[in-house]
Amino acid sequence: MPAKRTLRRRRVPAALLAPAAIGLAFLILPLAGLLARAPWAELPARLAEPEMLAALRLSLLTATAATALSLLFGVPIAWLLARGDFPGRSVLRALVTVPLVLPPVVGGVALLLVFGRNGIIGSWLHERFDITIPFTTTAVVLAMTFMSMPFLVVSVEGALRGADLRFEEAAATLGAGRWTVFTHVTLPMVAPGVLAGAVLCWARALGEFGATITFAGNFPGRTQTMPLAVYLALQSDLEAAIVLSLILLAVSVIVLASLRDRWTAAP
Amino acid sequence: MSTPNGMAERGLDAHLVVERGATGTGSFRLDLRLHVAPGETVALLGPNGAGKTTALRALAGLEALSGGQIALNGEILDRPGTRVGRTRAARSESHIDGPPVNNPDTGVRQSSPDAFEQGALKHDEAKRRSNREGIGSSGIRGSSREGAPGQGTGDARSDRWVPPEARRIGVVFQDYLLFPHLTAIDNVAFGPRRRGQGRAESRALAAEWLDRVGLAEFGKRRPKQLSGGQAQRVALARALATDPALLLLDEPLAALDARTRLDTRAELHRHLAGHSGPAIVVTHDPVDALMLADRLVVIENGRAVQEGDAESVTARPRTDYIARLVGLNLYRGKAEGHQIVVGSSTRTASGSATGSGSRSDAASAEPVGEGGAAASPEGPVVLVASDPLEGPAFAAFPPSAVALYPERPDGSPRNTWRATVSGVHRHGDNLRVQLDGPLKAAADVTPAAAAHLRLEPGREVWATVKASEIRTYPA
Repeated sequence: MPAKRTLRRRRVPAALLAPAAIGLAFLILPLAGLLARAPWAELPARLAEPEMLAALRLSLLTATAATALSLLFGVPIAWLLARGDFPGRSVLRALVTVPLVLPPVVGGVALLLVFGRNGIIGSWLHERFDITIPFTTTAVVLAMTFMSMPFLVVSVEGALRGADLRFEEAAATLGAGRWTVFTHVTLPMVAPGVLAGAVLCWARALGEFGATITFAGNFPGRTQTMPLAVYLALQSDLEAAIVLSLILLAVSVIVLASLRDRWTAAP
Repeated sequence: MSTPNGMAERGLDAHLVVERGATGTGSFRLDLRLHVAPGETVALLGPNGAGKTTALRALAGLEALSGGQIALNGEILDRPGTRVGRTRAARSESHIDGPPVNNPDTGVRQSSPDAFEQGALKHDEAKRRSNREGIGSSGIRGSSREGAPGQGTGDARSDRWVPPEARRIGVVFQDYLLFPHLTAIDNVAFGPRRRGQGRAESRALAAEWLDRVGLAEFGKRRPKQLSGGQAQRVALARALATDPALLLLDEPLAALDARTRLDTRAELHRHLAGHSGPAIVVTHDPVDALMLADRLVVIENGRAVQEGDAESVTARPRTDYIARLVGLNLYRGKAEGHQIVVGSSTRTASGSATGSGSRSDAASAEPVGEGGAAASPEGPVVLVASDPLEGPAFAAFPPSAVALYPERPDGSPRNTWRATVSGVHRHGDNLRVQLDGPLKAAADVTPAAAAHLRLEPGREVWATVKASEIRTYPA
């Protein structure tokens, strides 16, 4: 009987229960605190403030752009990692996933060194096209993409590995060429994985702070995204910081809810 | 299908050679010649691991040949050139524990879109071959159809490879592999659409095929919402909707329950009969093979061991495997007139779970026949059959032809021997008795007779078979 079995499984030893409870409190209390301190009455007015709106708009825009870029380049990377058979694939995978563990500030510095005015690509861009990337909105998008694309790659690669290749064979016998197989069979079949990866990627981009502030600076309306605005507001206007945080929290919860089946359900 | 060359042979003419793994343990070699005429259905029958599915995958282009060639209606679909063959062999030798060149587990070779160029070893081969032919993934079909320079068996052995998507071969896969993200009708329309028909046309054609398999109302359903039998029919419709020149079915009924199987088999038979091209059914179920196919090719260990129509294969099995499938006791020996000396009872049959190999040093060999059929205590057994024959021969008789007696029967028939019961199990309404002794055999008795004889393992009985029940045929 399943019900009975769950009951039996629920008997948790006290030695585990106590630390679990403390840990949960640690995870949940700060969020509760945020909600408790929120200036609910002034919230609508606060939200309508132009700086607030600018930051929100910029954040949504850049995070979405970063997600689009990640999809454009990350899905092919994932395919290569999942299906390719070439020497150094594991090294490549490790390299791709470095940003997952890299301190974002280091990412920002690295981007600055490459795309900065004296950087390898940056100097060339500057001389040839008179394009300067650092401290622009483009820099925000690049920083976000750099930090969040690995999430997408990892998610899509997992989905591709799990996909049954025989469906692709079936498609081939039905006359589908390789590209058609990819677009009409492979991609639709891993769509849930791609979607999950994209949402995760977007959420990560939305929260990007370290690499952004290093590579793109903190210019309101141009590079000041929500997390940067929170940081800045915290130094002068605590309530504004709380409001901004609330928005980010709401977005996170929505993201989590949208991934509910995929991430929070037991496998 | 129009052939590029008028002299081309119609139907399928294939010599499939697929080598896998390094020589030694774990290596596998398929070497199978297949000729299937238009409209003919051939069943590839064999035990698991015999190479049936490999043969089918090679035909479909999901696996490349190591040797031989595939010609369909005169068009060469796969023919490794001699030079390539050598390099390939060299390669597989150099990677002793590496993945086999065409390991189906990797499945990569065919299925990977080449959108992102990569030097995958496994792709290398197929790609190199298609490059040499000048067929990229886009221009494949034109060049492979019209450009076929090598018909028949040219001596040049120029390399030739037509990828699966250009082969016009319909495949019904074992678990159907209906695309889960598409509705039934879109699954069926997938093929026509890929082969250049418009969206509306394809859908109309798909609807027509769904109707033909009796699933007109199920077009909007997803594969998940279909029963096993329905999914099988959709898969069949999907394969047929492309108007394939060759139809391949991999264990088409294996996933169905007994009841559905019966209905689906009949329907499948109808569709196979309506298919004008050659068709190949891979199965390990003799009933499916007998019911669906005009001709049976039995393969074991990658080779054809017997070929023929249902009647000849079932009546005259040549291997233990088939004998077991059709429920016959089978012995190989040497015939001299009416007598056939079955040296050692190497072959038992009859669906027994006991091992097929038997020791020939059975000590208690004392079959005695009235008409001189006798055997030395340890030597060969002599059976007497009604049809005379000379030379190496098989002798076969059904378990139902074996009669058992507690004592040696008086006025006994010619073929009488003493046997020890080694096992008894239920078989339909009767009991199937495994007999040990000079002739390992299976016998069917009624439960009442079994009770009367007090049959249990270790019990000694006398077994007899009438000469008229023993079928002999040249080995």
